[in-house]
Amino acid sequence: MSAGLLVRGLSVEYATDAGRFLAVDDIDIAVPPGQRLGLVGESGCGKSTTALALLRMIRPPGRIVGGAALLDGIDLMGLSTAQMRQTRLSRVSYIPQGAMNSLNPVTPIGTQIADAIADHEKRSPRDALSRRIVAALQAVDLPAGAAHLYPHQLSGGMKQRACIAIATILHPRLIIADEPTSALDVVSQRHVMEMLGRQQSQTGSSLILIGHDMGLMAQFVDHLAVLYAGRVVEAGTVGEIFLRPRHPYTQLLIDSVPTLANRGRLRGLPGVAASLSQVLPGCAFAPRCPRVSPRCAQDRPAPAPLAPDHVAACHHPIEPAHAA
Amino acid sequence: MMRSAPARGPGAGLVRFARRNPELTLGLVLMAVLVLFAFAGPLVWDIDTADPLSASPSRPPSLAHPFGTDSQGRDLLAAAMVGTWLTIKVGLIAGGIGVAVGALLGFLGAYYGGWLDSAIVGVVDVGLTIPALLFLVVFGSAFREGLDTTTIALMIGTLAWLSPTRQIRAQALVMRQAGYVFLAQLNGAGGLRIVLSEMMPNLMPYLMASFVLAISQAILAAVGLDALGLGPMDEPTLGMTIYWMLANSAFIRGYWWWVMTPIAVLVVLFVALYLVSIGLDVIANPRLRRRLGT
Amino acid sequence: MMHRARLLAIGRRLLMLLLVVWAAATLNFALPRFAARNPVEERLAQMASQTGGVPQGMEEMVKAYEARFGLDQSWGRQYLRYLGDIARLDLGYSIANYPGRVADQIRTALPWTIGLLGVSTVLAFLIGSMLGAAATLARAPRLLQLAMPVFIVLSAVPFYLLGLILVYFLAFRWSWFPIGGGRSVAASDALSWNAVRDILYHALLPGLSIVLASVGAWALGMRGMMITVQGEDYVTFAEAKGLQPRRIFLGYEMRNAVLPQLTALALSLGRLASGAVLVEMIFSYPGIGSLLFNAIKLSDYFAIYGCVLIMVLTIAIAMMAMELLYPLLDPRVRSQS
Repeated sequence: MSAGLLVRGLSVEYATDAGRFLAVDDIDIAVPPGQRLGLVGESGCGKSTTALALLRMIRPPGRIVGGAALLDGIDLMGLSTAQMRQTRLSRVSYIPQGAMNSLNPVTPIGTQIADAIADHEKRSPRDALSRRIVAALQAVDLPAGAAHLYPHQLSGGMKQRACIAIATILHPRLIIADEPTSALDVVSQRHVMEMLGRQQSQTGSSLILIGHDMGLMAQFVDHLAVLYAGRVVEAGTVGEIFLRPRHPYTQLLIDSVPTLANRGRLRGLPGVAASLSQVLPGCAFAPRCPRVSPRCAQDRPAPAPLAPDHVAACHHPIEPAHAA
Repeated sequence: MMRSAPARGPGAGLVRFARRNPELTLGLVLMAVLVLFAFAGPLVWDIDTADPLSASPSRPPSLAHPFGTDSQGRDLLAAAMVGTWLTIKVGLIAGGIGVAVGALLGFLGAYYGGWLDSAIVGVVDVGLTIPALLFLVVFGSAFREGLDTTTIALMIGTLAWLSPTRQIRAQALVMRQAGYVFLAQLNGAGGLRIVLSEMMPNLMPYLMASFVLAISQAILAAVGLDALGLGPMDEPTLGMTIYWMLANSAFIRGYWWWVMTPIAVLVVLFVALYLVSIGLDVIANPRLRRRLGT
Repeated sequence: MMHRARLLAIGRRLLMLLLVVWAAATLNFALPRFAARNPVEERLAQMASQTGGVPQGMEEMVKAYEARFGLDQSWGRQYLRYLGDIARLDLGYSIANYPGRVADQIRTALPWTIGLLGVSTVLAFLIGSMLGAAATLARAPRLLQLAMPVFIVLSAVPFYLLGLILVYFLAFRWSWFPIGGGRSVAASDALSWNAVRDILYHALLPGLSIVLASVGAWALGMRGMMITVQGEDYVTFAEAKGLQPRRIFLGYEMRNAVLPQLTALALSLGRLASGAVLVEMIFSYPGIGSLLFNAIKLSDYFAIYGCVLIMVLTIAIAMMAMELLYPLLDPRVRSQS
């Protein structure tokens, strides 16, 4: 299948005073066209770095050291700088986490949409451009007049929706949304996610949603990939993973979401997230894993298919309960 | 997985520091040279010859007088040594007053806010609008007699606190919002304790940077005053040397050694102070730091 | 169509201006009186010592002059009269050049100073900002990378020291430029092309001292600001939008980085003015600086105070103008109070 996104062996390395380490370690992910993939994990597990890597926006002291990212058959890693610039927004777009500060403070919103179009397409007549801008704003429930407003005159939710408008205006094949609702209140969150979903369906793009909110993932995405310490520890359809989690880390993540049913004590994850500079030869999760064995610390588990559309990298995957 | 270990050892640490912050290193080295010149110099050179009528006047540099003499018979090398110390002294006194008062007012204003802060800000804004040198000219010409270096230093000190107050207040305001101050308040710590134990250590780099800046501005003002003729008539500060040099038409008479001596020393002094303050800025603002290995 | 908030802001600035001028004027008034100086007596004594004799009836002369200058009244009345004079920009008589009035002397000198200082400052700011911004480009030319440290070191040196060095080498050793003055001695007053060239020729060295010594500071500041701005989220998003690098550099980075620099410019006007005064002194440039220098030499107190006051006024007006123009560039402060 040459459509959609196919990432193989992507690795990103950082060079710091404490040495070099891999923020993204040989990951494979796939997003079929028109579908949604969720990337979950704790802070610092490499989710955002993966997003930036796909956009080829990794800056020194980091650099991409391996892997391919095929979007509709074309390897993003092999494009020239100029080609990649064109690709951004027109084929791969990005919705930032904190829209608070993602818009240029001294230019009106409409101009910021216009210059994105101008740098990708040939010049179009002014009124056609205006109509496009208004249409884009209205598609995310923003009034036409917002085009003349400055970012500081908009609320957080409005700014985030403006960013969505910009990210979808050229109908990209892949949209990467990096925790788009983390900074918002619950009501705005719902609104923004609805907007995002609507835009994505209308343009037929694939979507990667990055976050750490398992509850949101369960509601929104089709596929899920769980990251830990820069590695994919489990991936599959969202139903498979929630109903039959195989990796202990995934299980702990799912259990930590409070539901109305298990109103009791909150279950968290013991220990702290792995420090990427402390490199272990074996499984990265071994220090915190409730199912750890001596083999885990020595032998790094490779992602293995445990069911159709379900891989997990674990020496002792959880056996699915045969529920009725 | 790859890992490379950084170099260790005290010598390596020093070299790493110098490489990371070349400005600060060079600045400190130059300052050390000047201080050595001012303090160790008198041990090997007779500084009584800095007084007028100590040598035959208007002589170009020679073995007896490596910097030459001026038209009043001063040995310029001795005058430079004395002048360097005097000039640094003014900087330290005025700069010290400036930062001490500035830190106090800046903290108080930032921490307590309200009318106190408004009053401080108002005074500082008005004060900073008036160019310091001009104000000092008014001051200086009013108190024409009895101006010695220390008095000038105190005079400059009355204005030197304006800029540090604004800088330190701005930093303190940022820190006041920071979480750890709030936490300390929650823990019941009193105002002064918070100021001293929580905010002060984090403000150290900025205080140091302010201090260096205040010193160099004070020296700038002092030299300017002297050069205009409002300085101490009987002390060979670097600025006074410039004044005498101009008043005696050293240019026209071709006494280049008289022209170059104060200029050379002052240039080294200002460059040194400047490098040190840039170096301190880099420490205070890590984003400006050079990255290793790029 | 200005709404109340803007009017309030302007009003506040105006009040500030008046406050500053009042403070400067009061200091001018109070200080010499605290130092118990009698300018008239001193001047007469100075004149007497120059002519080598003590004139008869010195006491009467002093009293007559005091009455003329109003120095024999109580401090309170003097202060009120003084404020009144200031408000009318009547800066009194020049003691040294009696019966010349201070205001007239300043009127001739001020345009020179504003011209020199204004042009040099604007040039230094523009050149420095462009240098600083260019230094952050990934492929900055070698020449630039070498020039930056040189300018930065130069900016450590005060204007007049640089001026002295320039005068010494360029005007003395190699007579490429005039040693001083504003125009050639034999220049006519007509505004001909030759006259303009002559003025520029004389203004070059003083202007160069100011520009060379300030470029480094602006470049360094702009470079620091650009680096800060380049770390901001909106630059990251601009890149993710696939914008042309030039558009990001000019419209997103420079546009935002220059704003704090303008604020810094407004705040540094006072310091620039002080420096310019000394530069004028070195070059005998016929502006307020030389006027002040001569006044100090001759103990012409009224001229001294007049010069200082006018400088303060000019700076305060310039600062206010900049503050009023700033909202045109930064939309965030337009609706603020």
